[in-house]
Amino acid sequence: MLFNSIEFLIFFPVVVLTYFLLPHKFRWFWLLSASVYFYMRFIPIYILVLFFLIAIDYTAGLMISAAKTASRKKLFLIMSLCANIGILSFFKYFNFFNLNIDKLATLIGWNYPLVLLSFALPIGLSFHTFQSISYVIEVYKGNYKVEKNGGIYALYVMFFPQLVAGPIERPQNLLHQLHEKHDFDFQRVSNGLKLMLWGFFKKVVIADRLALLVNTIYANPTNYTGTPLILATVFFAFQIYCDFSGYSDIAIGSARVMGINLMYNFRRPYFSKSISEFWRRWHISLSTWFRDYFYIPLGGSRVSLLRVYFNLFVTFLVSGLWHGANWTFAVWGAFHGFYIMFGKATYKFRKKLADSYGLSKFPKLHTILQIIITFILADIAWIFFRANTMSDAVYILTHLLSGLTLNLSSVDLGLDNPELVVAFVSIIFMESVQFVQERIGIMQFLSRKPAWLRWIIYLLLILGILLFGVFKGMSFIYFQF
Amino acid sequence: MKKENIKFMKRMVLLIVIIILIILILNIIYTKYVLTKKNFYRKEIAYQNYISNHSEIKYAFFGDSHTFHAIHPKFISGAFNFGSGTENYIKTYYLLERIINKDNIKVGTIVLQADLETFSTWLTNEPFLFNEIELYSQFVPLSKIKEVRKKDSMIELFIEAKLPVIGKGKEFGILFSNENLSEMYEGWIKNYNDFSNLTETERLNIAEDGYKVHFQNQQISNLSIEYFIKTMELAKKNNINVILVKYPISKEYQDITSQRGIYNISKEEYYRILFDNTEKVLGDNYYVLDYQNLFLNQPEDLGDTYHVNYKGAEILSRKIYEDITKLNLSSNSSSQQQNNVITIDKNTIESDKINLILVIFLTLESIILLGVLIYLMQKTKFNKSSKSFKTPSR
Repeated sequence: MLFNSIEFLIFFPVVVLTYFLLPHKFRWFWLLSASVYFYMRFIPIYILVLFFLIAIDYTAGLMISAAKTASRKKLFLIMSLCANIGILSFFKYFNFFNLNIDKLATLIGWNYPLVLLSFALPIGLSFHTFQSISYVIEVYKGNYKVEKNGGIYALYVMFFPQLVAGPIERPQNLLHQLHEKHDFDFQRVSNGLKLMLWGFFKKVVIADRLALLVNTIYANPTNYTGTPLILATVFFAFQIYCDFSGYSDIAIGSARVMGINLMYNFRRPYFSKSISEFWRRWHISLSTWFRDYFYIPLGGSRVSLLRVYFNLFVTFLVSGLWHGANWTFAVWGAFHGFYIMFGKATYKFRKKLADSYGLSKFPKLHTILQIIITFILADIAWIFFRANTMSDAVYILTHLLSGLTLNLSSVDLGLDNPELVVAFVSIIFMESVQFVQERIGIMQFLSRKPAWLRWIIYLLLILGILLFGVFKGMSFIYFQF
Repeated sequence: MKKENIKFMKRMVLLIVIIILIILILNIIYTKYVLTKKNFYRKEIAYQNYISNHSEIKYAFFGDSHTFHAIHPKFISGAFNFGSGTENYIKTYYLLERIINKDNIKVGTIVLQADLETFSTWLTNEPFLFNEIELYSQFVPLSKIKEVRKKDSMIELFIEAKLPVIGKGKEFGILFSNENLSEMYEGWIKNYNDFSNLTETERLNIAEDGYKVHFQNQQISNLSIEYFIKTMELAKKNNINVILVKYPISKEYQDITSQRGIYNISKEEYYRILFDNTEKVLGDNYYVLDYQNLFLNQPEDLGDTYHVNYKGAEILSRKIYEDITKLNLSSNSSSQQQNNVITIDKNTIESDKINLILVIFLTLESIILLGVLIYLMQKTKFNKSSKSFKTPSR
């Protein structure tokens, strides 16, 4: 079920109302049933994959907890990891792996018997696999007590707000909340609803509108040069941000309505002054997952400098491939790995350079320049993330600056002029709100205003969504991962 | 339940009520003042005016924008142009069914478009599948629309049909636009463009774009063929003559489609499929009028690569009328006149008045509700502050 569907607008109030009306002991079961229904509205049969994963990791947790020796604990952990990564690899990387072997085989003249599987990837597989892995690892490390209630554990993996696209939760944050009783609290419900509203605005007004232009141009990039390519690439940066952070806001907001706090996934990433800061603000639940369960086990930054660079690069490369089985994602990850390495290696030099140009005397100007440069770097990497093929990405990258013109009247952009105006105005509006949020916090800002003004603002936001939203049932970009 | 929680819920309900009211008001304004400026709705109004004066349409022309711009009923006596941008045969079928069965208008001959692009899946893909649902839902049950738009739920279809303002906020700009609407005559819309003003390269590019849109990654739509057959069956059942028309195209477009073929087949094969299906229903009882090459060397009569402009429309319409009158079409229509012209006009005026009253009523009601909301909030605030003031003194 999509958040941006009529079905969800009916589903959610029904689930919430019943949740608060039910006695506490039945609530987890109600939420689990609702989550199962929510997931089965996509491709019902894949619920079996999810149940299989839940059964494996639940059992693994119990076994690890009951194991007497460290080696047995390790054995159960490895078995669980193999099962999780095995399922993920089978569904996500089988064809990718086979196609690449086939290409290699063609190069060396070997007649490789190519076998391709033709089924859709279970929605959100990468997300709930990672969430399950984090549980097993935390139980193994002894950081979290094993969950004995299978139903609650299933709910930890399947909790519908974050089931298909995160935030990728940790047991320390989520599991205990599923045991606790949450009463109806108007302040919390109100905050949750406001966050959901903001998420809907970002998704249906901005992301889905920008998608019309981005999809048109990225579908046939070779038909365009210069300005349309720049426009599509800049728009994609905002589209993916609004799409994914919009999803996260709806997820966090809807969980908050029910009294459950999910971790924040985004902190205004396009205000970052460097790529490393960007990764502390973008998809936080994934970047911290990779930091804790991949980068640090590799040695993290407590090894030789060369090894640190290697660890960073590999982490970003794998993180790129986590997004999708395509070399374009790997290159996107590699770009970020390179940016971070380059940033680390040249930090002192860049500081000196800024001093010599006198930029340090104008910190605001320096900050603005850093934000712009970081946005451009991130946006260049987005080209590989969005392009359908490597050759498309290379074409776009090499034709961004050729044939620059402001006259786009004869170019099919997929958006007419009024739509473009709405797109620009809504981006400016969103960035202004983010700016206020960055400086003083939007809730504090609003709380200083009189109640009638606040309610009018909410009313206008709802009307803005209803009147200017794109209601074509577009899926969320991160569902495919 | 805590007092604050109840108060919060009351406010939520009030907010929802206000939103619903505002949306309803905006919907009325949109339907009345925005929708009526759109070509498909203007055509509907023109049709309503036409049938208030006529009980018969001698020649009903159906098709997409090709027909829309090409057929000027001023030069074809007894004709009405039902052509509409991106219209496919699903819409044509339901439109014809409505004219015959709901409006009880006698139709002598239907002239159906049979261009190269007419059966492209491009026209039956999502954005054009009953995209003018706010109009079609007035005479096609939503359950029938659902049969075609399978992905959408009934609730979604209902909202799209009955609350067309949702997602159309940007269209309110039309109310403040000074742009004049194109001239319309019995369904025909004047196309002012002149293809001859463009350079050879520009003409080639437009032809190329048109080819890509309709044929690249597109196929012959089975859905279109299905409804094309249904349309002809409906015509046959009602003893209506059927003519298929191929509208003029540019030389550039002619060259591209001949060289590359369409839908991965040749043009000849495409027409063989089309005529085989026609013959299955009508046998030999249909006519084909082919004007595809009429303006090959006259770009000044075209608006673009496959639309004629107003000059071309006059030439073509005169030619079609001349050719149709030469055909030995059986006359099945009566010349019975209706005398309910004034009644229908009166009804229209009455319904306009009702809408206006409704708009005023709903506006007033929402203003009052908003006032009540503000008053309640201020009162709450006042009570709060007075409480906090009193507490220390006690």
